[in-house]
Amino acid sequence: MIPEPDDGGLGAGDSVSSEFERQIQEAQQERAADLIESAGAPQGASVPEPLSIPGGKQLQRIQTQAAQVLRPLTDTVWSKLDRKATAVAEFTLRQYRTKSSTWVVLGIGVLFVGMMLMFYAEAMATGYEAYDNDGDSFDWDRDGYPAGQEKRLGTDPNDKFDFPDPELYPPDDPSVWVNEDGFDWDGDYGNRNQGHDDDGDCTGEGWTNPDSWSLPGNKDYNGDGIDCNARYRTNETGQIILGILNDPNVDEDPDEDVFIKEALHRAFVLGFGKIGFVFLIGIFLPLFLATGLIRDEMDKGTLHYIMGKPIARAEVLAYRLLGYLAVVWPYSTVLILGTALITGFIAPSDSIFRFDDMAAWLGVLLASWFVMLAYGTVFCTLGVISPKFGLWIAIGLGVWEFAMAMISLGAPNFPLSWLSISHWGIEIVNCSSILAYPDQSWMAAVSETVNWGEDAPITGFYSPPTIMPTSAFGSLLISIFMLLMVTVMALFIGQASLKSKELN
Amino acid sequence: MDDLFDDFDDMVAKKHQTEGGVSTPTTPDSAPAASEATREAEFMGEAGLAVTGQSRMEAAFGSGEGDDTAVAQVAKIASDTSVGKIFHQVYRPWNGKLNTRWVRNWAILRYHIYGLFSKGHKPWPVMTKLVLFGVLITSLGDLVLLAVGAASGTEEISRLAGISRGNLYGHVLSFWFRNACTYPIVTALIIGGIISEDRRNGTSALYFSRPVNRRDYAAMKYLSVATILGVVVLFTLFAYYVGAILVNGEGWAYLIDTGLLFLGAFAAGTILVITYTSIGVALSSISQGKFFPAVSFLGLILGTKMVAFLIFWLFESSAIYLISPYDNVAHVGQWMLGLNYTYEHPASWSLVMLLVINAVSLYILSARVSSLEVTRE
Amino acid sequence: MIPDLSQTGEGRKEWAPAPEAPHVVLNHVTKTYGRVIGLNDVSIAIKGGVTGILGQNGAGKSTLFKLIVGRLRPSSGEVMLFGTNPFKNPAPYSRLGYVSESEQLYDWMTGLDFVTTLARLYGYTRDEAKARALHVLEFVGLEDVVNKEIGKYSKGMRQRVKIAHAMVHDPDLIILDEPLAGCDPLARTTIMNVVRELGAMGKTVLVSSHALHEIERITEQILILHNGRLLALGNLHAIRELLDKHPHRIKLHTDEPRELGRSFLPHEDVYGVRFPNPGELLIETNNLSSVHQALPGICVESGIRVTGIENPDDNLESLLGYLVEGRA
Repeated sequence: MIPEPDDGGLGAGDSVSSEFERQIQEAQQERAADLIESAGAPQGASVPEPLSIPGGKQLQRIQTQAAQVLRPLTDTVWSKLDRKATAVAEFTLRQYRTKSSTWVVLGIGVLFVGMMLMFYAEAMATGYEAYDNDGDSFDWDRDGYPAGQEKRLGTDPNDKFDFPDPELYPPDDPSVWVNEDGFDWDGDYGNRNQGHDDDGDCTGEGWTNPDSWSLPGNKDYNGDGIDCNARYRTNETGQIILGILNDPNVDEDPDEDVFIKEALHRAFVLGFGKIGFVFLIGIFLPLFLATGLIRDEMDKGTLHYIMGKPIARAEVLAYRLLGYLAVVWPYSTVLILGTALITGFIAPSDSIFRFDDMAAWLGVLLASWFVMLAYGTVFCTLGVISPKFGLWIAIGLGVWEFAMAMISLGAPNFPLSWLSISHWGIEIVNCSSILAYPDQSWMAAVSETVNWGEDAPITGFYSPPTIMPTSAFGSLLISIFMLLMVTVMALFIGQASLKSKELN
Repeated sequence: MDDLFDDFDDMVAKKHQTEGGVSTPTTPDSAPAASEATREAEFMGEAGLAVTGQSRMEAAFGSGEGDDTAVAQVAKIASDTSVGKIFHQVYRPWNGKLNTRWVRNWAILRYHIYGLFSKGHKPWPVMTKLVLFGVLITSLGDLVLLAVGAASGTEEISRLAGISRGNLYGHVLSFWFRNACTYPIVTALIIGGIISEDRRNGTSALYFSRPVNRRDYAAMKYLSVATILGVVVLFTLFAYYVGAILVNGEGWAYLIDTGLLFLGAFAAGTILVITYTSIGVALSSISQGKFFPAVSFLGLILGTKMVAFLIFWLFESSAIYLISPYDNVAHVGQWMLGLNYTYEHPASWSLVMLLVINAVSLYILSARVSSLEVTRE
Repeated sequence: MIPDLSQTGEGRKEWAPAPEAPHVVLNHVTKTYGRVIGLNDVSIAIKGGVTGILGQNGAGKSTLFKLIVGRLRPSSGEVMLFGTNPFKNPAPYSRLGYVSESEQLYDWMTGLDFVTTLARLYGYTRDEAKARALHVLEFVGLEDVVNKEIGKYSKGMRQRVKIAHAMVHDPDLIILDEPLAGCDPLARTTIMNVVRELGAMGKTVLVSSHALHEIERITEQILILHNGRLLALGNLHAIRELLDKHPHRIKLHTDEPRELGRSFLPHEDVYGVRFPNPGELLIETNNLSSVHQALPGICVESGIRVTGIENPDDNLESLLGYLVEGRA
C-alpha cells in the first residue's frame, strides 16, 4: 500500500468533491425521509441504503402513465417489419442527412445531369446542315444544271456546252438533289432485301437514257441476286442488323438532320445510361454511401447500440442497406425520369412528347437500380469482412469495375468483363434500348454505312446483346439475374461475416 | 501574469501574519528576494541544487516567427503547505538551441518516406505498400518490354518500345492504362490519410506543439506525397530512358537527339505529379479518415475524365475536357513533347486551367491547415 | 447471487440449466485477445439484486460485460444470458439493458430521437417508443433537454441518456459499464440514485467501477476481478470479515501521535500502534468496528486534538492488496 502523499493537491480536491457528494446525499435523504413520513411509504427490506428517493415515486407514476399510453402490440408481418426495418432504415436516412459528404456526392450527381442536359439541349437546338453525300447537286461544269439532273437527262455533267434544253427542262434548284435518296426501311426484320433507288441513278428509272454510261455497270454489287437494293446482314434470328451492304447509288444521300438528330438522341440515352448511371453514379455513389454502413459504426464503436437489440444481425445489415436504397433509388429515379421528361420534349418527334423513349429510360432506371443494389451490397460487405482492408479492397474493386466498364463499352464481347458488375449494368441499358427501339441496330448500321462516325455517335455506344446474341429480352433477364446473384451472394457473405463478428 | 502571482503571494503572506499563527514568511522562494542565479539553477536542475518536490511544466510553444522569444514556464511550489499552496509561475526565455528549420522539416519528410521501408516511421498500411510496389513494377513495364526485346533479339519489340515521343508521353501521360488505373490509385492511397488522419486522431497536435509552423507542416506533407509519386512516375521514366539507351547501345549523338524529348516528358511528368499532389492533399485536408479523400480523388480524376469523354463523344465539344485535370495535363504534355493534339481547343487554355486547379487546391490546403484545430476533431 | 460451487473448490459439477435459470451464467469462461488474457476461467451465476463489479483498469470488467451481452465470443467456456447463447441469439436482448463504457454516441441525434429510435428496435411502434422514451428520460432527469442534440450534452447527461436507452424497454437485467466515469459529483449522485432505484424495483443490476467507495454507496454485493480472474464474490463486509486474519488499520492525524497512541494501547482489539510520519498515528487492529466505536471516546478522554481520520484500507487497492498478495 502506497502511503498517501500528505495532502497532495489531488487528494484535497477529491475530499472536497466527496464532501460535496455527501452533502447532496444528506439533503436527499432528508427529503426522502420527509416523503416517507408524509406518504407513509413502507420501508423496503432488501435495500438498506436511503430508500424511497424521489425517483422511485416518479417511476411508479411514470409506469402507470405508460401503462395507459401503451397499446397492445399487434403482430402482423407488416407491423413487425414496420417497427424494426423502418426504424433502422429511418435511422440510416437521418444519419446520411447529417453527413456533408452525402450532400456533396448527391449534388455532384445533379450537377452532372444538369450539364449533360444543357449540352443535349444545345445540340438539339442547332440543326444539322443537309449534306450532299453523293455530290450530284453540284454544277460541275457551270452550265446551270446540277449534275444529277444532267445525268438523268443524258447530258454530260462535265461539259459546259452540253446541257438540256432550257425550254423543255428548266434547271432544278440544287437542293432537289440533296437528301434525294435516303434509307428506306420497312421494319420487317424477316426481309433482308431492303432499300430503294429513289432517284433512279442505279436502276435508270425516269432517265431519258436508261443505258447511260453514268449508270453503274454492276447493279448487283452486294451479290444478293437483286439489282439496285440494299442487303441487310442480320444475326441468326434476324432481329439485329449487323450491317448494310448497298448496291451502287442506292440510299446514297440520306437526310442528315433527321438521321443524326435521331441517332444522337439515342446515343444520348445509351451514353447517359451506360457511362452516367452505370459507370459514374453507379460506382461512386455506393462507394461513398454504402461502404461505411456497418464499417463506420464498428469503427466508432456505436454498432452495439443497434446490435444489442432483439434483432438478428443479418437483419441489421439488410435494413441498413434498405436505408441506403431509400436514398439512392429515389435519387436515381428522380434524375432519370427528370431527364426522360426534359429530353422527351426536346427530342425529335412527331408529337409534342416522345413516348417511345420511355421504355429505354425505364431500362436505364432498371440498370441504375440493380447496379446500385449490387455495388452497395458488395461495398458494404467488404467493409464488414475486413474493417481494416475492406476499404482498400473496395477502392481496388472500384478501379477494376472502372476498367471493366471501359472494356465493356469498347469490346463488349471480351469475356473478362463479364466478371464485373458494370458489364451487366451496361448490358441492361443496351438490351432495353433494343427493346425500346426495334430499329436500333438498323440506326447503328446506317451510321456505319454512311460513315457519319462522330456526328452520329450511336455506333460507339450501341452494341448487340452479348450474352444471348439472338434475344435482347433474354439478355436483359440474364443481366438482371446476374446482378441479383451478385447482390444475394454479397449479402449472404456479409451477413455470415457479421454474425461471427466480435464487436469490441 | 508574474506580477499577479506575486501580489497574490503577498496577500497570502499578510493574511498569515495578521492571523499570528505562523511567524515564518510564507511567500514562495521565488519572491523577489531569491537571486536570479538560484532561479536559473533550479530551473535547469544544475549547480547541485536538487529540484525535488517541484513540479515542472514546460509550456508548449509555437514556432515560426519568434523562436527567439519563445518562453517556457516553470511551476514552483510554495514552501508553506499548511494552508494550501500556490504554484508560482515564472516565465523565462528558453535559452536552448533549436535545430535549424530545415532539419525540423526534414524530420517530417523523413517520417513519411522512410515509413515505406522501415519500422519506427509512419506506419503505412500494408495494402498501400503493396499497391505502391505493384505500380512501381508496372510503371517499369516498358523497360521490361525493351529488355525482353533486346534479349530475344526481336527488332519489332525494340522498335515498338524504344524511345520516341509517343512512348515518352505514354510513360507519364497515357490514359489507358497508367492514368486510368495505376497513377490515380497510388495517389489516392497515399493522400488518403496524409492530413485527414492527423485531424481525426488529433495527432496534428503533436506537430503543432513543437517548433513546426503550419506552413512547414503542410509543405512537408505535400513534399512527402510528391516525392513518393515522383519515384513512381519520374524515376521510372528516367530508368526507362537510361535503360533504353543502354539496351540499344546508343551513342552520345542519340542522347543529344532525344535529350530534349526526355526533358519535355520529365517536365510533363512533374506537372502531373504536382497536379495530382495538390488535388489529393487538398482533398485530404478537408476530410476525415482515409477513405473519403481517396475515393474523392479517384472520383475527381476518373469522374471528370469520363464526363468529359461522354460529352465530347456525344456533342463534340472539346473544351469540356478543361474540367478534367488529367486531360489538361495531357494536353500540356502533348504541347511540350510536340505531339499532335488530340484536343481541339488551344493548349494554352489547358495550361491556364491547370494553373487554376493547382491554385485552388493549394488555397484550400493552406486555408484548411491554417484553421486546423489542434484537438481531436 | 448463486456462486458456482466449482469456483470454491467443492468439485466441478457439470453445468446444467435449472428450470429457474439465473439471468447470467458463465461457465468456465476464458477470453483471450491474441496473447493477452482478458478473462481467465471465470464461473458465476447471477440472479437478482444489485451487484458491483470491481476491478482495476484492465481487470476484465468490460470483457465480462461484453461477453454477457454477446459482443464478444468466449474463447472457451460457455456464456448464458437468460438461458441462451447471447452471441448467437439476439432474443434475450429484449430483457437486457446495456450501458457500454463507450463514450461514443450519435451526437447528431436529440436525446429523444436516440432513445426512441433504439426503443423501436425492441418492436415498439413509433408512438409507444416515443412515450416510453419520454418517460425514461424523465426518470433519469433529462426531461429539459430531450430535444437537444446529444453532441451538446455534458458528460453526465451523456451517461444518463445511455442509461435511459438501456431501460426504455423495462428490462429484467441492466448492465452498466462504468456509469460514473468522468461524471461530476452531482451527476454521480443522480446516477447512483437511479441505479439504487433500479435495484429497489427488483431488477438485476450489474454495475462496474474501479472505485470501491462508489460501489459501496450503491450496493454491498460485489464481485472482484483482478487480471481476468475472479477474486472474490459476495457481500462486501462479509468479504472483509473473511479477511479478518489480516490486520486493519486506522490512520489518525494529530499533533501528538505518541501521546494519543499510548491511550489507544489499552483497548483489547488494538494490537499495535505505529508512527509512520510525523503527526500521524497508525492503529492496527483485528476488529475494525469495535475500534471505530471506541475511537471517539478515547480521543475525547485523552484530550488530544485529532485533525483527521483515515481508513487507508477502505479502498479497492488495499482490498486487492490483501486478496492478491496477502499484504498487510
